[in-house]
Amino acid sequence: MKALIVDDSKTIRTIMQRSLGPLGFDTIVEAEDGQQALDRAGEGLPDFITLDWNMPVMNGIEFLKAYRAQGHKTPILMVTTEAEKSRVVEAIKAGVTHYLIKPFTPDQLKERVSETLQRAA
Amino acid sequence: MSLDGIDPAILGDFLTESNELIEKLEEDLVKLESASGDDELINSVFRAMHTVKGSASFLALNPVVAVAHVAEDVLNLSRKGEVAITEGVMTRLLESVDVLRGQLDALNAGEMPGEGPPDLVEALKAIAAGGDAADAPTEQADAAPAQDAQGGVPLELHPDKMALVEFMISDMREQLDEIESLAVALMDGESADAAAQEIRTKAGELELTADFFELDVLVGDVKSLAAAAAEAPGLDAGLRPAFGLRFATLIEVMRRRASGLDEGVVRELPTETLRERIALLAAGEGLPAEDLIDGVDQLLVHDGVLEADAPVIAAEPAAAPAADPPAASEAPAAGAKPKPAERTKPLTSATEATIRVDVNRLESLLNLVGELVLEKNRVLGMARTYRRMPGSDNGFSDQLEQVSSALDRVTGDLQLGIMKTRMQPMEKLFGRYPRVVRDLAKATGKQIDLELVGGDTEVDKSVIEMLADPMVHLLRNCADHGLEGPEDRVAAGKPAAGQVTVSARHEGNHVVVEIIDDGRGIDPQKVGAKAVSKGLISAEEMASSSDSSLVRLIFAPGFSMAEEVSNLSGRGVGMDVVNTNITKLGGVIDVASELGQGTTVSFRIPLTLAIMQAMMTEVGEAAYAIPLTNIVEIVQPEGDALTTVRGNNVLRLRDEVIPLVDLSQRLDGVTQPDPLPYAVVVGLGDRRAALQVAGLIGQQEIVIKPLDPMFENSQEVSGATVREDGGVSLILDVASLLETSRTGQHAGSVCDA
Amino acid sequence: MNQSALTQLAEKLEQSATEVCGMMLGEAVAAGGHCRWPLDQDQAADVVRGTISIAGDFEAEATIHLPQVTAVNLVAAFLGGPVEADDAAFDDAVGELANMVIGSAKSRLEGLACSISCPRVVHQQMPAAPITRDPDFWLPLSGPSGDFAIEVQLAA
Repeated sequence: MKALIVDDSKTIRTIMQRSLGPLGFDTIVEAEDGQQALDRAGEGLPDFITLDWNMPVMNGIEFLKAYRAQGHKTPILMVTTEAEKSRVVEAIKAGVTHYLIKPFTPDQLKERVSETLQRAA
Repeated sequence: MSLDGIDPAILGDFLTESNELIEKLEEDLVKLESASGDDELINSVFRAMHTVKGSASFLALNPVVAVAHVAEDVLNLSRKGEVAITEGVMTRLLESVDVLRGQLDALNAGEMPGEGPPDLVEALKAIAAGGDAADAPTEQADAAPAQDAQGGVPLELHPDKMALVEFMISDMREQLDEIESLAVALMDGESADAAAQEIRTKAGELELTADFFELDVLVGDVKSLAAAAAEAPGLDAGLRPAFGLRFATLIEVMRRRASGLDEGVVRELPTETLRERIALLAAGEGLPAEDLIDGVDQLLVHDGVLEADAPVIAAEPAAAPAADPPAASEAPAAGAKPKPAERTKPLTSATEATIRVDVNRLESLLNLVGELVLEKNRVLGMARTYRRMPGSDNGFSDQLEQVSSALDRVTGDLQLGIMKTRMQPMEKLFGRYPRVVRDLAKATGKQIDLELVGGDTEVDKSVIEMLADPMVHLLRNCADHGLEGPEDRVAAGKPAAGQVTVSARHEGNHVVVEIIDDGRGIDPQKVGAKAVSKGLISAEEMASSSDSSLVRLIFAPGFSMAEEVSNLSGRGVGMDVVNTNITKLGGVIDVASELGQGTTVSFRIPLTLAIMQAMMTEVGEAAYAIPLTNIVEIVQPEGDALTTVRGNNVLRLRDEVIPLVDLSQRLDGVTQPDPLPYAVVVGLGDRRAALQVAGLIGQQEIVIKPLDPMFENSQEVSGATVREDGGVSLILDVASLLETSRTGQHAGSVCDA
Repeated sequence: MNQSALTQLAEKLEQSATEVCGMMLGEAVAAGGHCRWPLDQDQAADVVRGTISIAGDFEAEATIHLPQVTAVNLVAAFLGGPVEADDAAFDDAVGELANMVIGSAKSRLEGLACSISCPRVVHQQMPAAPITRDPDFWLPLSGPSGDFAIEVQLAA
């Protein structure tokens, strides 16, 4: 099982690493923005992606559109402070599988990750 | 039974639609009275009533359904020619409209409406029974609660996703509307490719959305739609009608799914057959003749989406009349057998040219534009200040002025544009008058011909709302006091029927509304005598007043002309209330009357209430805004222009004597040692006052802000605004300033003093 | 409009600061403490600031002011271990803290559509340079890691 963490914050990536490890991912790859994420995914498709919204270079929505346009069905969990419903709907239309609003507790993150994986299964 | 189970948003839609339908229906009913036998008209009335009933039954609003149902029965029989619309029938029908309106008002107030009056229901039933009872429609689907009709399982989702469902549904409906519009282009060779591409993009988003909400059946529908759209441009012309119809049917199914989700239900609505047949058509293969059914509702049954005996319920709880309700009600029976092709265009080719927008959104846009106007004013002020600054850079100053004048222009256009979106035709008010006048004529035994002119004149929504009551009051006055009875009229050499004309037209930034009757006119001497008896003016004042200013006394507070209180005009609501309402709108009311010939009441109202032109003036430490519409002229009084008459300070201007108001005394309680240099002469109607101010800052466009509660009781100010320099100024209420400077409120009468 | 939006933002900032610290750092934080405006000489001498710009229906700059000691403690709680103040990870954590607190408050603004910038983190170790104007809003906060504050300046 391979996970891809996309977030411009090293801090969030560290926290994600810590939470994803025990969930059975043996490979965890990180990307700092949407463009890097496309590159990393190109090197080997992940089984799961966590995605930030606000990032430099290529933001989360742009990544989603580009990634889904390539035809990949990978379950994607968006993790962001963007909580307004109109923003969430924007993300849904771009193809997220599930959504988690920051701040979150480690338990919430774990629960949401498993739900996202379940939905895809 | 309470309203708890009803989604407020759906109820809101229902109320909006139903109120509109009822309004139209009432208008048509009154027209029908003079044009009986107009099939188009009676069909339209019937459809409107049917839709109200259908929507109400969808929401299980049984009291509404009960009333609409009996009224619909009568209408149905009369459109078949089995019940004649006599005056008695018409009165009952109009009563049912009143009852329905009352019920809708109750719903609006959050209450379950009461049952209709039993005698009305019985009377309508009796009328219906008088026709061919066998043909009267049976109970049909009315009683069946909608939720059970189409089956389905409760929607179960993660709470976080659940919270988004409502948002998703409205988005989904928008997408479906767009796809439906595009489908028209899809059937048209020229733009078919582009339309197909766009439908696929939209369908792509819809599919992702459906997937997020784990709605697998909907995902299937969307995929089928997208696949069909892709094939459509190359489709054989002969197959297009059948294809288009099933395409529209699939969209309809998705709408119904959306409605189900709105209620928290995932509707079954099996689409396997429908999808299969669309795919066949898209692949260029025809269908057997027995599958070529006309009409979306029929197809829903034929392709097994709906069961043949299931009541047909409109996808949208408040379907517009265009949804062809009569066909819908017949669908269960007719659906099984093919009907001759009536609808040649399977898809609505008239794409919607209007959209419905929440008034609050417009309000907030208008507020934002208001803010923008303020900021623009500040920029303009800064540009001017900068140019005057010693050592300012001329090149930069020019640029700044160019930018600010462009900003000025664009802001002006934007403001105008936003205002226009809030404009509504006066027709909205006029539509009710035929009914009002009809009832008035019946109640007074008078004959009244009503003429409405300029119904397409548009004014701001808030103006329309504020005008509604005064206008009806004025109409009542016409019928009650203005017009004579038929015999008196004939005796006076006039036609038996009185003529009342209501007209509206634009004059510059104002709308002028006139209510003209050819009745007995107002007797200035009677009005004057009454005013004297009520202590409103003195006998001397009456003697020296012109006829027209005497007539105008009907607007004075406390004056009521009716010698005996009639049940039409009611007690205590006189012309002064009308006057107050018009003044609140920043309007000016006037009356002209010729004894024996008739009366014209007219008012001029600004097109909008939110922004106005004002003169900024300095009074003591503060700056006050005086609405430009109220300013007659501004003078610098010299010599003996400032004097006193009967102990009151006045301004002598040419041959007029105008009461003088020292604003700093009035507003700040400070008496200035020297007379202030400027006098702003303000007027309302022909009342005048001169306001003394220390200085003039200049003319500005001001945005009216509501007052702080601490000023609410203040007589002299009507609002606040933000100045170019960012400070806050109060807006003077000229009407109340005039009211309180009563010394000779009529310029004319003071002249003689 | 900015003034009423500011009142709203002020309310939401307190909520979101409490939630972010509670959920992400496991720290119970509440309004109060010694980090009051104007900062005293000692506090002002060594401050880490994370600033986010807000643009849209409401325009402002929001800054989280962390006295050095508080910053070190909070970052350690965030990352699950001590981090040197000159480590890039330190600034990233402060920035992310600002991003979450201010971004989350912004998302809760009712009727105002705004977007936020990426965070800017500044270490200010000189005696405080005079801030050009008084803050439009200053919220002192206090928790186990120490006292800190959030400031809002409306766009001029």
